[in-house]
Amino acid sequence: MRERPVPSRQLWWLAAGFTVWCSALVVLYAIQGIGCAFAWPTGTLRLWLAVALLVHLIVLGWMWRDIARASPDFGSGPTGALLHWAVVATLITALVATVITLGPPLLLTACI
Amino acid sequence: MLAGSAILFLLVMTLFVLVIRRPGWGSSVSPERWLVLGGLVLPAVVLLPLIAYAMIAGERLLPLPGQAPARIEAIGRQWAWTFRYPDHGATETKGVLHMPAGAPVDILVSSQDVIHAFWIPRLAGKIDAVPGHVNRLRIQADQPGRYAGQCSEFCGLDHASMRFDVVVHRPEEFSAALARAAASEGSQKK
Repeated sequence: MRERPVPSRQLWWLAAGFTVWCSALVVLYAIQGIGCAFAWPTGTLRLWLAVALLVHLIVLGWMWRDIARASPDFGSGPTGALLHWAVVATLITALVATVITLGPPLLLTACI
Repeated sequence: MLAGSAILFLLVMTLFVLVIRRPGWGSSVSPERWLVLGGLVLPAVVLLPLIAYAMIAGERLLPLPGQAPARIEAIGRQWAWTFRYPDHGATETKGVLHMPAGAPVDILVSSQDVIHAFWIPRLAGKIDAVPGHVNRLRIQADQPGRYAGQCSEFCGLDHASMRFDVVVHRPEEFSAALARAAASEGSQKK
């Protein structure tokens, strides 16, 4: 049986996880900048930051779960299997990177 | 930091020599496990504590309002630094930053032309020098001595030579040393 080629548009999935990470970085930066500029109370600012972070983690978790079930069409054969594995790996890496790089700053001084 | 990097270097070189001298060494561990141990576990063990340390150190050095450490103005222009000491009258030094040891100092960083960046690697922290805006960087030198500073934002053809020296004095000697340095620069001008 011949291997069914991977549709080229599915390669975009490789960038999906870290696109969400980028979005989290920009959104958290923006909220912090706006909150500090307008002197929001620290509690309110932290709450908004935590909500934004949580939303991005949920999106990444949902994508991980969804892709792990192989809902997109990655074709058949070893190339499709490799792409599927790589996409799941980037999603997990993006999830861990989001927690490590954007989680701890929530505990630090928000504005000076 | 140097000791930590030396240990890691020795570990990697030991593994390298073992593989060369004893072919087959380590083959009982699967390649996947080597990748996970060397590519994930080892960096995590090294980097996570460093992240925690950096965040705690950064928090300690934040220029929080309420504290009033000594102030020094650092003004960048192509391609030299001028330092002014508002707590010591109109004192000014060029190319050499004098500061006391053992106490935080706020560096008020600005620029007269393009964007530069103020950086003293040994004292951590790095901040942009932006025209029309004053950025505040809090640093502390624990030991007297001489340190090197460098512009770390490309600012034109002579960016690489836009360096400065940092001379850290004992707190009790700082005022006199600064006055001597400023007087010496003044006499050189004449």
